[in-house]
Amino acid sequence: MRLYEHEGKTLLEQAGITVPKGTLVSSGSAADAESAAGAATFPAAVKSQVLTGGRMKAGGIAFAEDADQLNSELTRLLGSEIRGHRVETVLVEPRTQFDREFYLGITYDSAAKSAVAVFSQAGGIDVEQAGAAVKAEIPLLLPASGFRFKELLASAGLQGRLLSGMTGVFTKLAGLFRDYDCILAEINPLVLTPEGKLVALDVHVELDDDALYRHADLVKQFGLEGRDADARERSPLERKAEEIDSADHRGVAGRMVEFPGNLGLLIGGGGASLTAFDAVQRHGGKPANYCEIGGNPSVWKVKELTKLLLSREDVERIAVIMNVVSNTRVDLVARGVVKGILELGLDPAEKIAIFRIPGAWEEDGFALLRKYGVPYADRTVSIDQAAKMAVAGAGGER
Amino acid sequence: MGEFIAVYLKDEECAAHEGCRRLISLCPVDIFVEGEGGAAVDEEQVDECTLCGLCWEALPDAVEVRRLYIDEAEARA
Repeated sequence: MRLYEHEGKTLLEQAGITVPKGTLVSSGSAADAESAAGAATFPAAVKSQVLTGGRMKAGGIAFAEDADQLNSELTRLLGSEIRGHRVETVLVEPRTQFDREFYLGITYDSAAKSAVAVFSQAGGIDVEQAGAAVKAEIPLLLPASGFRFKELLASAGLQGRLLSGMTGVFTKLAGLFRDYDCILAEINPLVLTPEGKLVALDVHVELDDDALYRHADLVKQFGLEGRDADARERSPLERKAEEIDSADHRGVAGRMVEFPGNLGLLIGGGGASLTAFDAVQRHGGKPANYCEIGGNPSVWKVKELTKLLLSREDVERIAVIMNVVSNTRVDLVARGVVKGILELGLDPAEKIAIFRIPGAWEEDGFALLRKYGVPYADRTVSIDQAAKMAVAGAGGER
Repeated sequence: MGEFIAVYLKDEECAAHEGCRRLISLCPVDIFVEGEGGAAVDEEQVDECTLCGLCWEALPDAVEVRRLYIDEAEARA
């Protein structure tokens, strides 16, 4: 769950990191706009609150020298679209003068199986291309310790008061990262003002969706309940899929995302859903959806998801593809898919392009599929090959 | 009878086991419900059967579970 800039700044402020004092202006609120214009310190930064990067380049950030210019920018930005995101709120802050800008970030490195801290003296736009970043693994089982950040920053050439000040900011950012179960917390840029202060001008915080239940206060404070992780409005089909998933605690059959293709996908298994989705596209197929099934969903859950997918008139067939499963039963998934199709009065042999789930109880699953003439494949057929079969309509064994 | 699984209760043997009521709490996927004089099979649920064996191991004379997608000769689960 990505937070808006103003929400991230609230967390930074609570953590003791200096941010500009801003005012939030909402779409359609003349009172907000008047209040912001009256309270603003000029020159002011006018920043659209959308969950995407590159706002400056996309025209989502402007500067105003006086109240008239501020009103003009608010009118331009509110209700507009920045990189496909509608601007509902704008943050107005005093424009901060600075001498230098830096990048500080903490995220997880899945290869290292550790949190990592990243620092660059070349903060600002296109920091990724600027290079010259230093990074270090940061164990976060215990509260963050300043010395690790001091070592990292010193290796980047920082010295003296700047080193001490930056160490403090980094340590506080790490505390925030740990306390709120973040998967990313980055400040870009963190600027050094002519007065020697370190001020966070922009922040990007992403929370771990699966840990949100531990932060009821944050969910309430920012109204995160029901907010889509990528701030995209869910389609009716996606909402229905979520209802199906939450109606039965057994297993997962959810995270449905619709696409405009004609091949429905029931996919999952330790990242295999992404692999299968990409493979279908690579072989020229047009996925109707992305989803994730796993954790041994009930027959009912798979059945309902199957019926939901096939309720879309443009979905011609479905492909059922997972990695080799151990904690999901092949036969139960097969029952669900076949039953869903039968309940729609359709022929499983026609509607299932390929069923490729090897693993637990596969003998039963394959026996069931044989009975209904459904093309299936075992583990000797790769996910990529199965996707190719699904796209080509070649099928597997029957 | 479900699409894939059939669960049979034999009345006489059930009576000998106090109407097979044990099965109601025993089954992890709620295939057995309260019926007249004992347990009954909820036909809406039988396709959820995981073939765990708890029912037929507890009351082997009273319960029979069949996989309808397997040939009759090897159908007894």
